[in-house]
Amino acid sequence: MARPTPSDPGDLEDEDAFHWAGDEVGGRESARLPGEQIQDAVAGPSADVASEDTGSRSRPVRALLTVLFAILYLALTVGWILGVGYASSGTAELLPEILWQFAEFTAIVAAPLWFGATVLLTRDTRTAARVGWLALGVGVLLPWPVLPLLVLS
Amino acid sequence: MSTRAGVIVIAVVFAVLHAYALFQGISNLVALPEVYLQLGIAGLTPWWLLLVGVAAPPLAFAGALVLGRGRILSHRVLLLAVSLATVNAIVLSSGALAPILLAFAAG
Repeated sequence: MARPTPSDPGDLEDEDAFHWAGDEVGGRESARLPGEQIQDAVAGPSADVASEDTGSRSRPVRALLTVLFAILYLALTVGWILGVGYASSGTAELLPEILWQFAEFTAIVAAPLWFGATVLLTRDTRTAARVGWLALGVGVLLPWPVLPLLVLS
Repeated sequence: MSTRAGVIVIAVVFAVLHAYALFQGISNLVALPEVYLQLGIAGLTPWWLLLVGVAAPPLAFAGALVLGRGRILSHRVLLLAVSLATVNAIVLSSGALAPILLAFAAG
């Protein structure tokens, strides 16, 4: 049986079979995994070190701000627990009373829910985005019903 | 149940819950000016507060839907729960703020 010469079409197909997509420059030019960015593959170790360095510098600041906001949100929750005692549905009917109680419960858990959702959903975003969302939550969730209690005390 | 069906069911359930907050806001918008009118202090009606109570539920619900686009179902539920809790907190706050604003306005 005669072996195919390099110029044969069959030989080219065999070479294609051993050719891995993305092997143009040592496997660095093309993405191998779904969603993998070409820039990540060709960036090289120096870029990785730089991004890790930036991340490691901002991480303590991010953690500190998150802890500070956690204390603030804890205070908001306590404020809402105290504040809902000063609000009433103004009716003795069962359904409105149940809905009112549910609204009071959700108002109490609003602060921990907002904090938890922000921390969970801003894991991969910039620190400013997380701080912005947390600051917005503090502004929106101020427990105004507790104000009469503070005035009286 | 497919994810798409789950998203729709969750959206409808939270829409109903947000609708109650909207109903409260509209009730306040209708009833409170009447009370202030009968008390002879119609000029002190906190219109902006009443409008916030009406606008907050649909805006928060729409915001949660927009922020939840492309996310997994549990994150969408979390965002809608945050929206509902925030809206109820705003409704309770507006109920508490109205007499405070009145006291400040009356001096």
